[in-house]
Amino acid sequence: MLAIGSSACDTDGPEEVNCDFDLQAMRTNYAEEIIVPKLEQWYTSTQLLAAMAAQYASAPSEPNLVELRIMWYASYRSYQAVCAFGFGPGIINGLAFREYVNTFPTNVALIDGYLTSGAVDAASNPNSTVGYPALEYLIFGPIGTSQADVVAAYTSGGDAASRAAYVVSLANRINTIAQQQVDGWETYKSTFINSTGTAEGSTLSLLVNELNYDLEILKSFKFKIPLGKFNGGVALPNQVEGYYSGATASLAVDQFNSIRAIYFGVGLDNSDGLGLHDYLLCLKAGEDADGLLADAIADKFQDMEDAMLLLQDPMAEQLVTDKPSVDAAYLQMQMMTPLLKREMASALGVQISYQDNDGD
Amino acid sequence: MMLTAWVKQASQHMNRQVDSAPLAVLRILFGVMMLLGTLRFMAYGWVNELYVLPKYHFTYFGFEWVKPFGETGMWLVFVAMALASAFIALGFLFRVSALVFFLLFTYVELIDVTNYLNHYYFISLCSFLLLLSPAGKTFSIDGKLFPNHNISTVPFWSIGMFRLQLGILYVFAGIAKLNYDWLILAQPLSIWFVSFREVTLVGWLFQLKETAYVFSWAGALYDLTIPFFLLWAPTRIWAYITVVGFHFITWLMFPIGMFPWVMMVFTWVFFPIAFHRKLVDAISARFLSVRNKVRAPRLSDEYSLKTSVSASLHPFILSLLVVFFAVQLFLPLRHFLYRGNLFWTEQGYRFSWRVMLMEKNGFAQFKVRDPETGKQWEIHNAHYLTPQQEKMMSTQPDLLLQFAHILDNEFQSIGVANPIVTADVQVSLNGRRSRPFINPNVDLSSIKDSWRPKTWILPYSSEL
Repeated sequence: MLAIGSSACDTDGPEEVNCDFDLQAMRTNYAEEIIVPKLEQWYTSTQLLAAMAAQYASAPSEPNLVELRIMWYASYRSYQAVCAFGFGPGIINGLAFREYVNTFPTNVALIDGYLTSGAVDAASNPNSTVGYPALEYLIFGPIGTSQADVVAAYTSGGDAASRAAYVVSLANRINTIAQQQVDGWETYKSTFINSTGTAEGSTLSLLVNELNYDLEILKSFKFKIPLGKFNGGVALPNQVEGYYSGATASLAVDQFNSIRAIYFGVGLDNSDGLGLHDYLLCLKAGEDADGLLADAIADKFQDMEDAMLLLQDPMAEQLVTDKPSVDAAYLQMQMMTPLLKREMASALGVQISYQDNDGD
Repeated sequence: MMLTAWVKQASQHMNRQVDSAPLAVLRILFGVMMLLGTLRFMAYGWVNELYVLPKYHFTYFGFEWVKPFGETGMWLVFVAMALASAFIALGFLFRVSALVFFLLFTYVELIDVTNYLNHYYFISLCSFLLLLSPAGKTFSIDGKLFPNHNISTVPFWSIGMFRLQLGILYVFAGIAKLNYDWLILAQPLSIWFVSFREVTLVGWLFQLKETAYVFSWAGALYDLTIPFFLLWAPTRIWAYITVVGFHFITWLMFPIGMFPWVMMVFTWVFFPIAFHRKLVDAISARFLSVRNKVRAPRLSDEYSLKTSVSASLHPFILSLLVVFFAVQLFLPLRHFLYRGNLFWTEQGYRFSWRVMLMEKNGFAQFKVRDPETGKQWEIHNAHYLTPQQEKMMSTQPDLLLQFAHILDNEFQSIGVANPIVTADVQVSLNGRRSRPFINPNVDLSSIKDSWRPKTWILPYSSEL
C-alpha cells in the first residue's frame, strides 16, 4: 500500500512530494535495536549489582564496597538508557517502573528509621526509600563519609545487620523490576510493533509521550528544581540525582544521550535505523526559510550537548560555584521542550497526554 | 411602495400557519440528543474533570462572576439538565424545561473558556430559539394536560428561524475556510491526515498530499452551499445524503463527540412538512392510542400562501429575533475591527463558527519576579492548570493574561506585594515552526483585559 502512495506521487515541485515512510520498520527498529537490547543490558547490570550487593553484605570490606559502588554506578548508567520506556510492561501496578527504581531525592530520615526498626524489605517500602538513590545513600553515606566509615557501619554499627540486609533487598528489588521488563517485552514486542495509528495508547503515541516525559524528568527534576527555579532562585544542591556519589552530571549526560538516540533511532550498537527524526524529515514537517523542524531539533540536541559538556561533578558543588553553567544547560533543555513536545508531537499527529508532575 | 409591499409579503409568509409537525419533531430530536449528550458527559466523568477538579477557571469577558458550584452542585446541575432535556422531548412543562435547559447549559459553558466549542455555542442558541417557539404546545404532554392550549398549526417563523440558524452556522463556517492556509496549503488537514497513514485499505490515500486538498476544498464548498441545496426541493435528498456522509466521515476521523449526529438530525428541519407529518403520525400509531392522537388538519405545502394567516408575530419576540440574528451576523465579522492575523491573535475568534481551522500549539513559560527581593520563580503551569486548560491557555492571548492574573494573586497571597509576571511563549500555527507569541518583557499582571487591541501580542509576519 505504501508503494501505491509513492507511485501516485505528483510533480508540483518538492513541497508536493508525498512522503513514503515505513512506520512498521520504524517500530521494529525501536523494539529490536533500541528498547529490548537496552533493557537486556540494564537487566544484566542489575544481576551483577545484586551479586555485588550480596558479596558486600556477607563480607563488608573496602574492596568489596568499591566493587559494589562501581557496579551501582554502571547499573545506574544503564538505567538512564531505559527510563524512557515506561509503557507496556513498564507500567507496574499503575506506575511507571522508574518510580520504583529512581525516585529522588531519597528520603534519608525514613531510611534511617527503617534501619533502626529493621523494616528492610524494599518491596514494601515507599518509592522514596528504595531504588538506586536509596542504595546510593547506603553505600556512600552522608556527604563527607569516608570509605572506612561506610564499611564500619556495616561491621560494627548498631544497625549493621539491617543495613546489610537492606542493601541486598534494594539491589534484588531493582533486579526483579528489570527482569519484569525483559520478560514482559518478550510478549509485548509484537504488540508494540504492530500497533498502528497515533491514538492514545498507540506505539507512536507512547514513544513520543515517553520521550517527552523523559526530557521533562531530565529538565525539571535534575536541573530546574536544584537550580531553585520553583524556589525564588535559591539553589537546592541536595535535590540533585546522584547527590551522595557526586555522579550527578555524568548521569544526566547519559540520560541526554539516551533521549537523543531514541529521537534519531540509533540502536544500542550505534546502528542508525529509522527513527522519529527520519519520519519528520520525510514529512518535511515545519518547513520554513531556516530549514525543517527535524534540522532544528538536531541543532538543538547539539546545543544541549555543548552546554552539558560544561557540567562538572559533583554538580551539587557546581550549583554553588558555577551556577551559570548549570543554568545554561537547563536553558537549552527548556528550548528543546517546545520543539519535541509541541511541534514534533503535532507534526506526527500525537496528543501529549501525560499529566505533568511538578515534583511536589 | 415596493419595499412596503415586500415587507408585507414577507411578514405574511413568516406568520402564516403551517402544520406543527416539523416543530414537534425538532423539539423531540433536540430533547433526545441533549439527554444523550448530558448522560454521555456524566458517564465520561467530565463533570468532575472539567468543573470540580480544576483549581482555577478561565472566565469569559464580562462573565467573571460565573463560578462553578461544588461537586454535588455541579452533578445536580447536570441531572437537572438531563431531566429538562427529557421534559423538552416529551413536551412536559415545556417553557420551564426549555428555560431551565437554556440557563443551565449556558451557565455550564460560561464557567470555563477553555472548554469552548462552537458546538456548545450552537446548542445554547438553539435552546434559546426553542424557548421562544410554541414547540411545547403540540404533540406534547402539555397539549394533553391543557387542551385549550393544544395547537396543530404553528406560525412559519417558528420553523424558519431554525433553518436560518443552521444556515448561518454553515455559511460562516464556509467563509472561515476561505483563507490561504486552508485552500492553498491544505492546512491543518495535511497535518491531521498524518494520523491516518496506516488505516486499513484507505491509509495510502492519506499519504497523498492531494487528499488533504480534496477534503479542504470539498469541506469549504460543502459549508458554503449545503443550506441552499437543503432548501431547494430538487436537490434536497442529495444534499441530505451529503450531510450524512460529510458528518459521518468527520465523526470517524476526529474526536468531535455528538456534533456530527446533532447536525445529521437537526438538518431535518429543512425537510418538507409532509415528511414530518408522516413521522409524527407513525409515532402516534406506534406509541399512542388513536383516541389520544392529535389530528392535525392537512395543510397544503408550506410554500403556498393559501394557508391561513394568523396574528402577527409579537413585536417583542420580533425585535428579540432581529437582535439575536443581527448579533450573530456581527460576531463572525468583528475581527475586522482588529489588525493582524486573526488566527495568530484570536482577537474576535470565538462565536464565529471557525471549526477545526487551526493546528495551534504553544509553550508558555511564565516567570514571576519580586521587585523588592529580586527573587524569581519559573512557573510550572500544570501545578495550577489541567492539561486541557494549559493547552488552551498557551495559545490564546486573553487566557495568557488571565493566567498571569491568577499567578499575580497567588504570589500576593504568599507575601510578594507587587509581583511582576512575564511569559516567554512560543506558538506554532498550522505546521509552521514556532515563534515568539507575546512580548516577553511586558508585566502581564499590570494589564487589564478589554476589547481594545492587545498590543503586547507580537506581529505575525507571514502570509495568510
